[in-house]
Amino acid sequence: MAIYEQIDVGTTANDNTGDGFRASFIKINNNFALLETIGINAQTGLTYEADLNDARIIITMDNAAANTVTIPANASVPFPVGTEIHFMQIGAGQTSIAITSDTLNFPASLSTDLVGQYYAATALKIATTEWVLFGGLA
Amino acid sequence: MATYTQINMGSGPGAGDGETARGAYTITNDNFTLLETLLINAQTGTVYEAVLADQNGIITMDNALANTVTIPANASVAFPVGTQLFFMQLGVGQTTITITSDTLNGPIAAPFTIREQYVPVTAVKLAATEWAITGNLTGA
Repeated sequence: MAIYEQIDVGTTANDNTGDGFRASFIKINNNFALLETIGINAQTGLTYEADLNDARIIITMDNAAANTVTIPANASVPFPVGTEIHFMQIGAGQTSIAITSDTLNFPASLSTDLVGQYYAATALKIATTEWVLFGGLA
Repeated sequence: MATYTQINMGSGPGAGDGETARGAYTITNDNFTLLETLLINAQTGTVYEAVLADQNGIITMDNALANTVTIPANASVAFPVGTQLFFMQLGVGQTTITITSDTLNGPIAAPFTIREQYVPVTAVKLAATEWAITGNLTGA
C-alpha cells in the first residue's frame, strides 16, 4: 500500500468522479501529518516479518531473548525500489535481520545482527530482489 | 528525481493561466509518491559528478575499481543550502567523495573515502560554498 493517501482525480477532467475539494485537502492534511513523525511498529515477539506498512517506519523489537525481523521476498511483498525500513533493538535480546529468498547485502566486516539494545539499522531496497543493510550492525 | 514539482499558480487569482484543480491534485499525488521511497541513482562507472536531480537521493557506485563522486562547485550546480546527498559504495572498488572549488569538511582529513562495500555516507550543504560529510569514512 502507499504510505500517503492519493487524491482521486477521477478519470478525466470534470467527470465528477474524483474527490471533492474538502476530501482532497483532508487527504493532503493527513499526508502532512504523517510527515511530522516516523511511524513506530512496536513488536514484542521473537519473530516478525515486515509488510508494506513498514516502509519508511521503524520496527522496534522488544524481547529479552534473541529475535529476528525478516524482510519478505519481493515475490510476496513487492516493496518499491528505494524503500527504507528501519529497525531498532529495544529489548535485551539481540535483534537479527533476515531475508527470504532475495539478497540482503551488508558490510563484510559486520553481520546482520544489531550491536545491542537501542541500536538501529536501516535496510534500503536497491533493486527488485536486492537490499542493503547498514547502520548499527555487530 | 528527488525534488518536487511545483504547482503553477498562474499570474494571479482568476487569471486562468495556472494549473487546473485536477492537474494540481495529480502533482500533489506525484509529490507524495516521491516521498515514499529514496531515489536511487545507480552509477557503474569510476567517476560521477552529482547533479541537481540527485538532491536528497542516494548515488550508488558499483565498480570493481576505485571510483570517485564529485560534488560540483556551487557556481556550476547551485544545490540549495540544506541539500543532502547520500552516497553508497556498492562495488568492491572504494568510493571517494570529492568537491570542485568549494569546501568539503569532514571528521577526518581528505580524502573522504567510504570505509567498505555497502556503507553509506552523507554530505550536507551548510552554506553556498560549504558542505560537510559524515558517515563511516576512512582517510588516505
